[in-house]
Amino acid sequence: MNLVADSDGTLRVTGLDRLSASNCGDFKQLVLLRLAENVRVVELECAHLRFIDSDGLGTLITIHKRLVTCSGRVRLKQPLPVVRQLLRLLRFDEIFEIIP
Amino acid sequence: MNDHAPSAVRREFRTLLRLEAVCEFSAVRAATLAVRDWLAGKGLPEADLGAWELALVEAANNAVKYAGAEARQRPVTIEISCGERDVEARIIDHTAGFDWPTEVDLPDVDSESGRGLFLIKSLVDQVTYLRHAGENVLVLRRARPVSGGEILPDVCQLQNHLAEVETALTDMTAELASSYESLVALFRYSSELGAHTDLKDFSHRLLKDLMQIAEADCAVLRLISHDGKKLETLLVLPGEANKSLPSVALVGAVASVEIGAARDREDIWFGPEEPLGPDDPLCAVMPVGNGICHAFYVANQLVGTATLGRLMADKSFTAAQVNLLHTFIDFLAIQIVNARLLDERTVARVTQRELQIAADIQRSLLPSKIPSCMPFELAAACQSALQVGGDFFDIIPASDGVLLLVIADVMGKGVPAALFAAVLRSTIRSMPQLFDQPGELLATANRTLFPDLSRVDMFVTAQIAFLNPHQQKIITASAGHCPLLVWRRDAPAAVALGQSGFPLGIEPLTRYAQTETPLPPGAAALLYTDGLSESRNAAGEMLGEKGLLRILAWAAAQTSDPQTGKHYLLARLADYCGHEPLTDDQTLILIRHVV
Repeated sequence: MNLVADSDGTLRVTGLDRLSASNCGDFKQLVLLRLAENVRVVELECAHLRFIDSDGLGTLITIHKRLVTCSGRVRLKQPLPVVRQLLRLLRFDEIFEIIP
Repeated sequence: MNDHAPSAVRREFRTLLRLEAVCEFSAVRAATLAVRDWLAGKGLPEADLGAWELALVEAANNAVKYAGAEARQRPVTIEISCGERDVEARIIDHTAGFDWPTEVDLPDVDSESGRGLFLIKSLVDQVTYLRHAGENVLVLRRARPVSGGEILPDVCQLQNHLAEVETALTDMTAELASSYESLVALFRYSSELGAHTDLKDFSHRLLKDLMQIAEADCAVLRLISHDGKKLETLLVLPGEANKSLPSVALVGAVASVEIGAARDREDIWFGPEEPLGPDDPLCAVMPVGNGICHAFYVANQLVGTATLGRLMADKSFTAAQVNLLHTFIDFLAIQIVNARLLDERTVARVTQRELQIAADIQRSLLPSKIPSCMPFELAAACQSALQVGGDFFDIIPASDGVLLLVIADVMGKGVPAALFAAVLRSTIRSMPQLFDQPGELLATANRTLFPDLSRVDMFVTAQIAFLNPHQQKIITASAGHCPLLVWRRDAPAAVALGQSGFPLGIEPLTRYAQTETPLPPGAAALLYTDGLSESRNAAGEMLGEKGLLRILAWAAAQTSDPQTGKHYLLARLADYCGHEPLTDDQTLILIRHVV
């Protein structure tokens, strides 16, 4: 997993193939630490995110709530169908920015 | 996850995977990935694999999240079974458990947790949560897609199942075909029911059809004999000339499955494990591998036995084939009984007709009118115990006012007896020159009739009396017949007179003595057959000659004419017999010297 913060305030997260209870704690901690770097958008590269569970989604909600306080947002880029289907099921497509 | 934990066993049509994971998220992750791989191996499509992985992760993660210190020491167990139609998972944990909510709703969209149960419920078709002390089981079931990719084990199962179905269909088709053949055969035979067909031919055709439909190689049909004491062979099929089967007694020392089936009223099977006994008569005609013997009854009466045999030792008769045997043979039993009843009715009709003919003959033999022979007057009677008896009498007028009286009893009844009576009558009538010599007349008649009588083992008893009114005497001769009974006014009792020789038809050359007896005025003489003296009362006591003498004396003393005397005599006989039916013909000629 790589986290790269751009000058435009976007924290790009790549190389994540799974976000679940077993790794979402580390993921959350790393992202929250980087939010102090004027990050307004957390962009999660989802092309390889094969699996996400409710804990992983809960982590995204936590990050989302942090970003909302500074008018920021979570962006999910190119999620796989299985993930996109899950996001729709849980109505997360209403709060996250999803880029096909 | 324990290294040795995964194990797969085949249970009926389902395969089972059981995993035990230590109570940690990472172990749960590994376990669910293992499940995913296993399910992938079962041919589940990607969408199903994803759904199962997520549902199991949610369930097992809950077990980890809510485990206490003690529960953390115990594994989270995942059992998953894969069937043809669905997949079932059981997640066993050791948490305190919780109450599964009646409704699982989605939390607020910005809630950071509380979506696990919603996801589980959304991903599977059926959820059951079993909460126990120290152990909880979450059971998840999700249907497999109809057109999922098939893998080798399932193909084998399907092939096996298909083979079973094909076998069942083949059996059903065979049974249906045999049932159809049976129905056709039975309908065909039904048209012959009641008809007077040849029983053996009918049985032969029916048994051949039965053998063909039941796939039997040989058959034996036996019927109970008319005396009910033995089983007689009607058919042995195939009917080679060298196959014969003697009758077998129902009661005896012979060890026979046919006798056993008839005695116990149940089918007896024989084959390699329970072969025919060495003394069993069936051994001679049925060298079989398998067989069944069925005894058949109608109205609780044994009719016969039918035995089917098959040469192949490893192919016994099926239940359907045994049913065929029962159906066909029970049908045959009805036909056999019907045929016997038909035969009996036919015989009865023929006999009735014969008796009618014989009765006509007998009536034609009797004199239509009793001739006058003054000072003697005569009366006669002939009562048959059956429609036609063997008794007859004749009264033949001769020249000079004399009469020849004949009374006879032909052994037997019916047409033969009537015919011999007619022949005897003609024979005697043809010899008027011997009327005054009754002994010689009998001897001549005996010589004439002997060849015919002896050929059919019959004989005739006869008494011939020459009644001479001029000399007021009677000359008699007897061929084994009852004696002449005579009553006179001056005598204290009636007496039996005369000697007797052999009945006609016993010895070709025999002589008959003559007895001359005067019949003074008022005297009565009686010629009779043994039906009178052998009359029995209700106690079974026979009247006897002495009893008849008493009745004659009484009747003669009470009357003066023979007609009235005859009625008195017969009335007294009837009184003696009471309501007992006649057991023999009763014939008499009563002679009275009227004053």
